[in-house]
Amino acid sequence: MASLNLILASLRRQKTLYGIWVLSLCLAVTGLVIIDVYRQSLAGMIREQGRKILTGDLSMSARRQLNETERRTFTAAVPQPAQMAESYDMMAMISTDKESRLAMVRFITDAYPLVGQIQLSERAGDVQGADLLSGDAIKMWIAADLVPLMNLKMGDQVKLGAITAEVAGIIQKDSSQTLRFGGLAPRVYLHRTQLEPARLIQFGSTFTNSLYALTPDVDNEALRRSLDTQLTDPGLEITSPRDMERGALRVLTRVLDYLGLIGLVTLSLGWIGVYYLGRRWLTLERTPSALLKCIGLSSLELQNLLLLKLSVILCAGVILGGALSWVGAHAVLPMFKSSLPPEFVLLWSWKSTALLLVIGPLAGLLLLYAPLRAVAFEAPLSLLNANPARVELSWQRLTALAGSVVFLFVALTFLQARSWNVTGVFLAALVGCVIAIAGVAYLFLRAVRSARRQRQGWRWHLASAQWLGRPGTALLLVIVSALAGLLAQMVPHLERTIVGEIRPPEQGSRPALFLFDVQEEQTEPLTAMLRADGAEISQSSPFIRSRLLQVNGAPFERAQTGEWSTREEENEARFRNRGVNLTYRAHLSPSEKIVAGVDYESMPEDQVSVEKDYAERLGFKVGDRLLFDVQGVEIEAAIGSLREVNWDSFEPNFFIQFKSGMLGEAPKTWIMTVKRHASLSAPQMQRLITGKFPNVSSINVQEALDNLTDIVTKLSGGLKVASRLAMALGVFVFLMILLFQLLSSRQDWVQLRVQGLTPGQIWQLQLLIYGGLALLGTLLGTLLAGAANWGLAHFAFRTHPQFDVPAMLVILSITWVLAWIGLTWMSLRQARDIARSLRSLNSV
Amino acid sequence: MNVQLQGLAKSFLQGENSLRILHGLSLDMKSGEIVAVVGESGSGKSTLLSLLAGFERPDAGLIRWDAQAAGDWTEPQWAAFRKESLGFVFQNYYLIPYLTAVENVALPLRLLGHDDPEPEARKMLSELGLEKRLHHLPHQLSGGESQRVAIGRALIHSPRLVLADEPTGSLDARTGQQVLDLLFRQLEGRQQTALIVTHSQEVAQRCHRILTLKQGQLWPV
Ligand SMILES: Nc1ncnc2c1ncn2[C@@H]1O[C@H](COP(=O)(O)OP(=O)(O)OP(=O)(O)O)[C@@H](O)[C@H]1O
Ligand SMILES: [Mg+2]
Repeated sequence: MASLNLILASLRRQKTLYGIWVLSLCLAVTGLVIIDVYRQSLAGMIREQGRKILTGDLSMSARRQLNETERRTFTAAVPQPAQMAESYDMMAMISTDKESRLAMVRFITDAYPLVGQIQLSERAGDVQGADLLSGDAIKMWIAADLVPLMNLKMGDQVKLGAITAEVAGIIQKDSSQTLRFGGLAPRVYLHRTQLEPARLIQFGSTFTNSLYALTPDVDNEALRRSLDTQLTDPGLEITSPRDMERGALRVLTRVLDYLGLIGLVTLSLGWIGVYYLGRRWLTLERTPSALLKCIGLSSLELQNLLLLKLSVILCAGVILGGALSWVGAHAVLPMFKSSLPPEFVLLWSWKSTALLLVIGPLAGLLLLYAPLRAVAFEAPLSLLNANPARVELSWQRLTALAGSVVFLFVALTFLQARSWNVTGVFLAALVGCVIAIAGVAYLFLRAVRSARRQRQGWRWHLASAQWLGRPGTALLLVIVSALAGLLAQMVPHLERTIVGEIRPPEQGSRPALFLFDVQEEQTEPLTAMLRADGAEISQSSPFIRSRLLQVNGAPFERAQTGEWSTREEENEARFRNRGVNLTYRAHLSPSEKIVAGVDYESMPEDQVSVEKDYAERLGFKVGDRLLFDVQGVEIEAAIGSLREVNWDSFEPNFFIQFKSGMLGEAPKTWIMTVKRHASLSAPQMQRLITGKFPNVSSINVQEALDNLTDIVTKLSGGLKVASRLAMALGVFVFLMILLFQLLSSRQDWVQLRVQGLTPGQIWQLQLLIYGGLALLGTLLGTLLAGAANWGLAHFAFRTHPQFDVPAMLVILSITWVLAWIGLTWMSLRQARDIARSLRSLNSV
Repeated sequence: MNVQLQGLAKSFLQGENSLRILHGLSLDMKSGEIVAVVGESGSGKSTLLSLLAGFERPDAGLIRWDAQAAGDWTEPQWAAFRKESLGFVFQNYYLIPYLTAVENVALPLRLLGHDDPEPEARKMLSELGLEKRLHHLPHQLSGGESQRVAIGRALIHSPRLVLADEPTGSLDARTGQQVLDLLFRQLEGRQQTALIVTHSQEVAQRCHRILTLKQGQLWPV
């Protein structure tokens, strides 16, 4: 009780220090916790909504017709009587007299959806597949997005494959829809009975067939596992609502991963601030500590007292931080609202509380324990001395402390990234950046030292003396401002690079249309028709669906992923579960390059060339033997070479490519690209093609790119907010270090006033000393951001980096103006009154 | 420099009531005169020095240097006066921690725009017996050494007025004596006007005149 009173008394007296300390801790944790709140809320929503998104408790799907055995096994496994529904999904063209568009068509049975709602605008209540059957006309429901795009209204006739359907409903709500990005392929529902008449499923068409079931009162996960063991085809996917987190919201969770990494950098900036303020606090505690020891407190008691006080501060900071995060999470919600399902609500989970406690109090205690113990165990008289003989911690203790801080940081990184690769690259990049910054700062100090001359003006003389006299502080200030600058600068560059990648300035070489599901016998008439209208096919590739059965004689099975799987494991699982599409071509296309193995021209017919990244992901090497099932025929081929593919060319390219021969006779469809045409627009060409070949799907490349750009812009909105926060926190920490630097060197500044410098001159000097360091730091950060953008563009995105110079200048100026205002305010405040400063110095 | 103070008054607000520290204080000092001011603790000695150096402004009264009135000087004018004409010695020998001894001493000249002030500072330090300590930083100097450096810094630019607030207050008797010898030798050699606040009889005895600060005014002893 007595110690608590003591603590409260000192808290009241040094309001500024404690206030700023609490504030910086609070800001440090905010970024990461906001991201965690989103992560947990999304997970919570999926838990709540997973069944609705899946439209059932369990589903089984494949990119082909489910066979009888599979249907029987699935039906037998679920509780009887089985409540089931079925759907077929595919991309197909729908057209009116004027327009043709790619749509995501779903043919559904009577009971679909088993769970969740589909609601139409002109009808109250939920509808089900059976409602598509009333009346004589063939009915379809269309997504609301399609209405403006195709100028549709109720009752319009729409062609789809071989049938014409009537628009019988405009979908107001569809609970199976998660993210609402773009209108590339809006949804259309028809009844299952129309699947055959529409004749969209021709040989080799891409579609997904899914069965859904209700499993009341059954452990879904156990059921899923047992089905997984009974049905081993890797092309088959058994999904429970829990899988939807990784599936449906993959893009968003990925963005949150990266936001989390930015949050980590702001956290470390914040930690620097917290640590620095803690050290100041400990210097201020020296005198009272000495007095307490003189009146009989033991070192251990003193340590506990200091620890208690530290904990009070840290807890206050964390409680505030939690509150601020909660408010902040709500504040940024409107930005993402449009791309999130309407069911999304922000939730506070105990996991966020745990995170808060780990990155707040625990980290703070770890960081400050060593210096705190040093003060507690120092002799009283040496505590009163200005230049104390430090009590050093034993190296075991120091290593243990440093080790736990490093471990904590690595663990947090992994928690954010969920990937050892990303964790490694991120930590290496961070350490590399800090080393690079420190190196440059060191060179700067060396240069200052050698540039110091007798005959120099007083400003430079004093500034250089201070830099050299306090190299630690100088270094810290440079690092903090550089990291803040780096983060703030990187996002606009990256956004520019990614957007530039999606839509480069010269669009000439890109095709206008991308056609798929072209039947063998349609290739000739299609080409002829286009040629008659002056359009031209730029490339066509055979498309052969297959399954990979064995690799080097071992079966290639479906990989399982648990809750704690890394992103790499998930990716691999996704790749495995997919069937493999094959092609053959006699010569490499311009967008391909052999990087390992034999030259393509001299590769034997019984070998294949595999895309490099695909091979890496699945662990394939040159020489591995792959066994494929191509429409029931087994084909074996060895990997002859690895290929690098420029995917941005938008030309059809495949992971696995034969030379020809072995696949020449296999049943196939064709993928084609149509060149841009001066007088014929892409939609016009689409209408032409759909009119004659209703089963052929086409993608308007430009429109697809626009959609992607739109998504990137939306996602980068979140990254932007995060990086601006990082910049603000950087400036804040910088100013905080500065404030305490100024306070602790108040004596020096007063002396200069006594020596006849005006407040204005003192301000100039401080601007030179600290502004100079900030300038160096932010410029370094700018360079590093450019370098990081360049590196990511080259190694991660494989494209040309682009730089957002205006944004860079804006951010630099904002940072500088903020730092300038802060410094000026503090400087003028301090220089106001010499007499008072002198008296307060005398009293120390 | 002649110093003339007339009817100086200074009070501090202490909550509701104001505390009268100096009240109708007058003083005349001739050029080259060294005056000691003694007085009880809290009588206002430091406050008086503070007014003379322009750290604070008097509530009333006149301050004159030679014939010039400093009554309505602005802050830059006071700063220029301190830079050119004033040397100040504190009890706690403040030095700038990141400058070496010689750089500390050379600072006033440097601020005055001298091109290469260090040879002169070196000469000053060797006169003060510190030729072996030129490049030490303040935390590497003893108390007496620091105070000598501080004196060097106060005198190097030959200010016309030197103010010292208990210059030997933190030193032991012998060191204090040495420092004082140096200070007086310098002051008398250069014919500088000086006002020295002290609690020490010995210091006071060596000055040309001793005044006591009592009830806000200066009285001869
Ligand atoms: N800013 C202030 N606000 C309130 N009171 C003040 C202020 N400055 C000085 N005083 C008061 O004025 C009185 C004189 O202070 P001053 O420092 O001049 O005394 P001093 O004669 O130098 O004493 P000492 O010999 O102990 O140094 C003291 O009682 C002090 O409390
Ligand atoms: Mg005093």
